[in-house]
Amino acid sequence: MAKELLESEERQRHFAEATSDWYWEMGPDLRLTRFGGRYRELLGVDPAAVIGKTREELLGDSNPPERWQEHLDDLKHRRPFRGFTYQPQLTKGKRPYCRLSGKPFFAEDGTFLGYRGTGQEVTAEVLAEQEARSARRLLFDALEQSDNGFVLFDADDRLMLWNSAYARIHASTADLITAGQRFETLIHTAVVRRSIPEALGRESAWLEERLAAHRAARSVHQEQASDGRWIRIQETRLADGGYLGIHIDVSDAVRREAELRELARKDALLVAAISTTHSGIIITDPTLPDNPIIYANPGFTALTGYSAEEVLGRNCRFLQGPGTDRKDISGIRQAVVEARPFGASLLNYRKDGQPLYLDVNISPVLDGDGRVTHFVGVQTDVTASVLAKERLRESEERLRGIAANIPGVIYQRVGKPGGAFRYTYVSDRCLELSGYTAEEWLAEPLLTRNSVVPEFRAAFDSAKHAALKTLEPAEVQFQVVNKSGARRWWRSLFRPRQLSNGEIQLDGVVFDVTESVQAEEKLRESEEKLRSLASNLPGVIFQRIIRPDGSAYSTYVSERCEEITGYTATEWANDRDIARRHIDETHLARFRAAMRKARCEALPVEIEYPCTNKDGEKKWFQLKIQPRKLATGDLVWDGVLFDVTHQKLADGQKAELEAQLRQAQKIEAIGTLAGGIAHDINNTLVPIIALSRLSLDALPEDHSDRESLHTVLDAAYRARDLVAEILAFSRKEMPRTEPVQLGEIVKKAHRLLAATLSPNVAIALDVADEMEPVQADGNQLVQVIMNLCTNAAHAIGRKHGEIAITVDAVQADHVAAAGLSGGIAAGGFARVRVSDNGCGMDPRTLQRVFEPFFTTKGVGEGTGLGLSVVHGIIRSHRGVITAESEVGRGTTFTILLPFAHTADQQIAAA
Amino acid sequence: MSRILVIDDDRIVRETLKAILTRGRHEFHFANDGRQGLAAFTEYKPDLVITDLLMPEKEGIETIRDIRRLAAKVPIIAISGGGRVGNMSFLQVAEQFGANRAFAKPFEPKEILQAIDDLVAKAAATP
Repeated sequence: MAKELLESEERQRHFAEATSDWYWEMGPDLRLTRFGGRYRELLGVDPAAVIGKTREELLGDSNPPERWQEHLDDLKHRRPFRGFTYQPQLTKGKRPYCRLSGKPFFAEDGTFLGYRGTGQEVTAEVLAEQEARSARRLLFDALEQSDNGFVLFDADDRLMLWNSAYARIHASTADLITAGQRFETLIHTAVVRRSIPEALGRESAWLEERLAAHRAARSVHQEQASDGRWIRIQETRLADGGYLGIHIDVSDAVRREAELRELARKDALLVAAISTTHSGIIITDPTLPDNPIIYANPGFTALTGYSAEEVLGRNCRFLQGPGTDRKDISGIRQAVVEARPFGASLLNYRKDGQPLYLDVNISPVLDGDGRVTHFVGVQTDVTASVLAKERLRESEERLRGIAANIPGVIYQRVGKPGGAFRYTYVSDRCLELSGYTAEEWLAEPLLTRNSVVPEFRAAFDSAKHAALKTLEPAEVQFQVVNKSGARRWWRSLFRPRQLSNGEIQLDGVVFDVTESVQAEEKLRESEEKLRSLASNLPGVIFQRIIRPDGSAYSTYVSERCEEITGYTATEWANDRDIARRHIDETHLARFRAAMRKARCEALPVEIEYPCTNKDGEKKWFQLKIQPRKLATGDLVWDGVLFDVTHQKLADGQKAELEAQLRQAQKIEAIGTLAGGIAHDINNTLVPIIALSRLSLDALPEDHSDRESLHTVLDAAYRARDLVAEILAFSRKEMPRTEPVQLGEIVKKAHRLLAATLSPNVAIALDVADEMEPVQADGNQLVQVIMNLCTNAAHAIGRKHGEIAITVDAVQADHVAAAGLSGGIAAGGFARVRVSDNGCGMDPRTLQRVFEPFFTTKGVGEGTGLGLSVVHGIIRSHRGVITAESEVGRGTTFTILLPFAHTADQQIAAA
Repeated sequence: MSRILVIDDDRIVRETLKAILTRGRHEFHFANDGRQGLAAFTEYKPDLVITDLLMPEKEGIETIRDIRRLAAKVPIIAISGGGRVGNMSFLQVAEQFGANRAFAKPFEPKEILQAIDDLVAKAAATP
């Protein structure tokens, strides 16, 4: 049994030795009890030398190894251990490294019996490990020395290694920079903490881009830290799946780059500026003989007309000329000699000889040692400004001249609102205006104010105050008493201006307008007179201007316009359509013709026309226009419009009266004559009738002469009747009237005519049915019709012809349309027309047809009384008769007689 | 039979009246104008006067007036060929001035004779 046990232990020792270098055993006192195998072989140590020794003893005085105390604790607490490495103290001076593993073992009752374990010689391994650790330390130290950030993430993107520069660079997330920290957490936090300026506002996108770059095999990008530093990040994926990042602070480089860019831009700008500036720039080299020009910019060429090629190598003095101030030239020379800046305005000359005023500034360019290497000359063309100054001077001179010559005083006053305004300038005419000298004006601010006549002071002050308040230009007219005591009218115009010191400046001019005011006063009186005349004149006075282009406007329409026309002066002036609306249509063409005459031929026009005023009242206006041409081409119409309605009516009545009078005179004459004739004829008829009658009485009933005597009697009776009518006409007796049917009258006349007219004349009768009666003397009307027909038959003569008699009814408007006039009242009329197709009459004859004793018949054929009797009869019946005729075509007489009831109205109206 | 004084300046009228008055069996005397007529009236003392109105020397109206001053009752017949005074015809005027009847020329013999008979009879009947 014991043998088996021993064999088993032996077997185990063999196993141990097979898997390690050696095996060992330790007793409960922790002293080595067994030591075997290759220990001696490997370490060259006799195991007997270490049997019975403790670890401390074996270790000797060498430095305690790593984990030594831990190892002692393990032993003390009987714990198993592995990988304890130490350097045993060997006599031969060899210092190998050994690595031990051990396990305590116990008796069945738990009594500690000691340790059993194996050992290995690991010198090469430990040394290699130590070397590697040292290299790593070195690398880390080296990384620590770098200003560049260095960071390593493992394949899971967890932070493995970083140097302090990395933490510095990413100061905003420094608190999170710990081993195992996830990359995403770092950048996410940086974004959240707003420490990545370029991510602001596009956080998600930036994170995505950043992760994509990070995961690329290799990426380089720049980002700006919140403190403005620029970081260049190079990331490289490593073979094991991790990432290496190098973070370089490139702020300086970026800045320098920007600075360089700026510098380059400035240089370019400078070059561009020099070549584009309108100033001439030349550079001379005083180290060369005669200080020649070595550079001239395009501005110089533009100014002087010399090209760069023409001036390079020459001294600048070729620009000078006869007008150049010698003093300035020597000033330049002196400055060049003394190597100091110099500036002057010089009169130079262009290549084409034109004078050129230049502001010249010359500056020396020094090298590091203070030696003059170049001179830079900058020339600015001040010709315009010099000429402008010249012009200004001339202008001032001119203004002074104007101020001295215009009939007013120009002044400038300055003061504070509320305070007195002192005069700062008064032109010389003040003496003439006021009697006070300019010195007196300048010395006494209240001079003008005190000259103002008291009742004008309020207006004067308020105009000034208002202007000061609004800073708007103002004018005021007032009376003053000048130095000589004369009262004068002044008009002052001024414009306030706010000065920067809070004061207000008044630029003004004051005129003596006494004459003008007096003239205005006279004009006003005259206008007042005119207006008064115009408004009292029983007409409208107007003035109208017609421009050459045909447009027209009224400059004046007097007040009575509305009273007379119903239209206001404004309506009358502006409404071009008034004429069309108010003038009677039938007179419009005539009116327009007159206006055309006044407008196109500028001839005076006088026209009377009927019209309807605005109130619908019928009027007659008389319009007189006197046109005159102005030099401007405008045509002026001076016109006057009168209401001549009453006059017109009176004229009408007068004409009527005159006609009546003429007629009366004529009739009186005829009456006298006719009376005489009638008397004689009647006397002549006395024996014819009386003796014929006596003879008839005396003759037997069957006497053959009786018939002849009857014929004599008939003729005598007809003669008697005729004479009676002539006498009636001459007497103008009112006819004895009664309501009669005109148709019946005409038929009766027809019957009588039919017997007497020659057979070559036919009579056609057309009488309207059921006409109202007319108030008439039937016998007289029969005579009228017969008379007209007899005349018609005469007109037809021996030819075959026809007399047409028509009777119908018409209304008064037809009467008007027919152009009949003369006291015809409105209402119904009976019309009789007697037409023939005889020889007709010429207009001259037609005009006189109703005149008594006017006849176209031969001597003895007619008295010329027929138509005048007809006319008289018709007039006495309150009717009218008109004649129309055309030579060769015939004649128509038209009679209009009022129906009985119309006649009543006429009488009532009369 | 009556004594008739005819005053007319027209011969043919006088002749005609002569014929008519003869037919009526009257006596008659003629005067050529008013003056003669007035003288004849005093001398002849007619029963009736027939006078024209328009006459030279002394016209009819005046003659009638003068006759009426001399003899208020002697009937007067005025005859006239026409003419007017104002609004009235001569015949009307003549009646106003005293003529008993007036006839316009030309007249019918019958009406003259009848008027003479009537007027003379009437005058005789008047006291």
